[in-house]
Amino acid sequence: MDILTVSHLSKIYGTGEAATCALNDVTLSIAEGEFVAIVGSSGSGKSTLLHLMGGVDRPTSGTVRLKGEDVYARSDEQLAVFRRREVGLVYQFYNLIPVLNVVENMTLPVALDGRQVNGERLQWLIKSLGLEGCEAHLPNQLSGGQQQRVAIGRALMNAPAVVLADEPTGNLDSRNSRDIMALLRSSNKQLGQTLVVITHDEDIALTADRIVAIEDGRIVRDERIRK
Amino acid sequence: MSVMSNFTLRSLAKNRVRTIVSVIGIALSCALITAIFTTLTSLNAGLYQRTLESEGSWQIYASNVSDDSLAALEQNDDVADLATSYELGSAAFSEHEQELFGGYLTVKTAPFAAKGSFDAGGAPLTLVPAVTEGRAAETPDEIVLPSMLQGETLGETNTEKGSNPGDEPFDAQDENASGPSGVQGKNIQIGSTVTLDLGERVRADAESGEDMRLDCGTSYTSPDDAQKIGIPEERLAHTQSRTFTVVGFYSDLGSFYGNDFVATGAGLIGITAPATDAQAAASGTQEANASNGTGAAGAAAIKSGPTPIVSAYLATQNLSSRADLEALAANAGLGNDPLLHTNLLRYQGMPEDRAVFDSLFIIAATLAVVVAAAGVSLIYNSFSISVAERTRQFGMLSSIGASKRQLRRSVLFEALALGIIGIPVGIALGVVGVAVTLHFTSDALGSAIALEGGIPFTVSPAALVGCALFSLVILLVSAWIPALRASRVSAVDAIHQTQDVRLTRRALRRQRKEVNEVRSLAQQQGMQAAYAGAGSFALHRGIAGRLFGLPGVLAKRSRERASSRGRVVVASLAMSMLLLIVCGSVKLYMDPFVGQAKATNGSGNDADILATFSYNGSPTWSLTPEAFDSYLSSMDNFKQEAAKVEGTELAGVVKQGEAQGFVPASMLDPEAREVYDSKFDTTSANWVPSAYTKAGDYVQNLTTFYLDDATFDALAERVGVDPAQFDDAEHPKALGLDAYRGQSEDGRYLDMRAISNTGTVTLYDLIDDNPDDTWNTWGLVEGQDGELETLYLNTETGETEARELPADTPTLQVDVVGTVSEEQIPSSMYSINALAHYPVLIMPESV
Repeated sequence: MDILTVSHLSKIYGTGEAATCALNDVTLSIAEGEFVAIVGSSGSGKSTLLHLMGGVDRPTSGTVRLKGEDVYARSDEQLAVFRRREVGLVYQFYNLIPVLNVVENMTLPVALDGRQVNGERLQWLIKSLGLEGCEAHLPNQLSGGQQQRVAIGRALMNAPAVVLADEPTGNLDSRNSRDIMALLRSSNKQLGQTLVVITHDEDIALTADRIVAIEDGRIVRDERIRK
Repeated sequence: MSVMSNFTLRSLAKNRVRTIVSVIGIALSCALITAIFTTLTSLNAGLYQRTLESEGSWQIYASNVSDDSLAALEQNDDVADLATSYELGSAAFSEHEQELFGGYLTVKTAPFAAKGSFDAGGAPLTLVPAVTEGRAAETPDEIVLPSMLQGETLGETNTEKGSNPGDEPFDAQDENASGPSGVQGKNIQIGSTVTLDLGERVRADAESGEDMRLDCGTSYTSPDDAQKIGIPEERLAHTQSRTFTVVGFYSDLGSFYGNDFVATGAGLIGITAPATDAQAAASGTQEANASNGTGAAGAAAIKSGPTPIVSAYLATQNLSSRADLEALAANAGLGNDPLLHTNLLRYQGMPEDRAVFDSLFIIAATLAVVVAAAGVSLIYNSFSISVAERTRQFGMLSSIGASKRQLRRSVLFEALALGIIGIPVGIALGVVGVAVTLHFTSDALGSAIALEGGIPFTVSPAALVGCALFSLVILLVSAWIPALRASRVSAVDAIHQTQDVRLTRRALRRQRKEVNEVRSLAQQQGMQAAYAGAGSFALHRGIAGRLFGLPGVLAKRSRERASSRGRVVVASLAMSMLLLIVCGSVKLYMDPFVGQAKATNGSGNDADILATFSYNGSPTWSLTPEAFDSYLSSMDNFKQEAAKVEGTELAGVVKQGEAQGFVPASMLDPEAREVYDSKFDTTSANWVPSAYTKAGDYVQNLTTFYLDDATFDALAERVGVDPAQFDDAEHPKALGLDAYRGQSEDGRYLDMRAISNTGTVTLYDLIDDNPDDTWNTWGLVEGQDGELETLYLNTETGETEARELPADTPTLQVDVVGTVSEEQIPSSMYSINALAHYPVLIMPESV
């Protein structure tokens, strides 16, 4: 069953002569529990696609549906709620809040939502991510790999419908990269977490169920490599 | 605490320096605003205190109060304190005593509390003249008299000279004309007695013929004067002779609002004591109308004879407007016009017209707005930087689901957090600052506004709360735009850490233009577009580029493209300039007033004491040479007497005269005529024929100042004219006044010009062709054919008539060899302002 449907999605940055078409009529469906790798060269539009799927930006035209609901029919406020509840975002540069500690960063989406933190889930995540003993650390006291784990923890904290990761290993050494991908993959396998990962690393892409290649804002290849 | 608040506080803690700077900025703004309003409340309190001390705390004063009204006032809960005094009656002075003292000696009781206390809150309801010798009256048979009666012998039995050697000799006048006196007393001293024939002053109403009671606030009209103006004569009714023992003398309080112990125009006042209840009981009898239980004590002083007039002073509670007070007075039946204590009510927040209140408030508000503007710019700047620094964090927060509202609130929360520290600190600073300032300057400031005790440091809690709220508003207003900016941060941009410059539409247009020009340049010169970049700099260097070369161009581009930050910097600079200009112009506009204030209160730079002599006995045109000589000699006397006082130094002498004169147009500034013409409405009844001839020459009054030689020489040297040339008495020379500050017809003070060139002025001594008729010379005018004529004024009808100027009219040619401006002349001559728009000559006294 498709959890995320993208149809005829276009995004144009700028106006007039300075206009750049980042995404050109992209249509794509992602099934629940699927692990999709999006590959493409720099500037191909893959990050734009990810942001549009995550409700971070607004498309110029086309629709994104998550669990059948039109994401961009929402108001800005509703969109913010959507982002904190339904989507988990992981970035190349972790994007943690420097003044908040590990636990606070991880629970940020819950706190923004004004809900009570599920302590069990938090403990379980900290343990699974190997962050025990670092709970009260600030991001700048952690290594890059640890920071990315915190970011993954934050993405998973709300049990989102889909986790979107933009080059999650782009800033890490190979050992940490492997660990991070293992974590993501295990969340996909064990929890059935739907996962979309942008990467330009062939090896990582090959661990996905499906590879979507983007060039100049268009899907040039969409290949299921694993059932 | 919400996660956003937590985030905000942590950020504040992390950026400690900026946080401290912001708090200081908020505290300073708040401190300045607090200082302004605390100064204002202190000033108000000082003025209030002065009014209490010099005029009493009464809010309503009424004379001729009926017993019903008095009872109503006593029962009214809004009346906090009530004092009454009784005008027991008046005794007439004899005719020549009247010349010295006025019509009557009126006896009043000292005011006493009929309800509440007489001096609630430390200030008396009304002032009683201070006894300078002896003591106050304690029984109804004792009296305190004005000190000017001390040593006098009064009454028709007086055939000797007054024992006071300074007195005018009464017996020099026709004894028959002196008439009887109702005041008997020989060589009045403490312990001596005076016998007064006290009666009610009455005058028949012109229409009904019924007697009307006059109180001591009504001027005395002598029978002669009454006949002249055609009103019935006034007389005394129900007279009764009473004898008082003199126990003291008082000095006059002077005339001020609500002073019941000055009978200006009616004579003098003696003050006796109201009878105590015991004395009233002992006396047994009471006037039928004097009491129904209220005001018994005072009324009891009177056994028979004149009915007392009751005055009431009252202070209210719970009332907050003049209308309330007026309603209270009306309900109590206090007659037509009870006096409201306007001077006091003004400082109690019940101003009559809001002019004074408003102008004070406007000054304070203007300063507050300037401070607020500066504060807004400072705080705005600080928040803009804070938000700009955290753009990326706002973007991240947005991407993981922080709503715009949450982001906006976080910045406003930051403002509140800073305000919670900054505002109390600022209020404390402001209050302490004013306290310290007043501690050191209170006396000086106080004397500037005639507050003897200085300005008391007064804090109004309500004003402080107001200042705190105002500061909070400033804070939130300042933080609002940065907060909006924070909420608009694009998550995508933040995540990518893009610092891309965003071009404004104008910049975009220019960019396109540049591209086109570079292209055409490239085409013309056959260059490749690749070289165009260098060409672009060459083409568009602008001013910055021309002045500073390539660095200038880069700075300009950088400023243009990071537009918001550039704007903040520009706005801050502009704000600083604005503050400087405001301060500067306030000083500039205040300066002349300071100068004038100095001159008018006699404490100008030149002199501590300013003595003015003027001849004002009769119209100036009847000034005889003898009168003029005696007038001059009185001035010389003063100079001699003054010189005897140790430590006195004569700063200078300024004599002022008026003459008719002719000033050629070539000497006058063109502005002068315009001002003169605009000042007089030719359609009004007071219109005077223009002082300017058709040719633009000035004819009419000239004011001449004669300075003592030393002062004059110093002035001449100051304006660069050789003082020696003025010594030639055959050819008198003068300086003309050019620049001065005058008042325009709409009341504004303007810098004006008058005599701007040298030349010869002709003065005319107009001789009245018939000094005995009602036509008197008034001035020079231009006749129909351009010849000069004498203008005559009929003093009875106000008509004017031009007559031929006699050929033998004495004239004097004065050469004006230089001009001075108002600022160069001694401050004692500032009074020439009053002579606005008459040409002014300044000459040495000796010539």
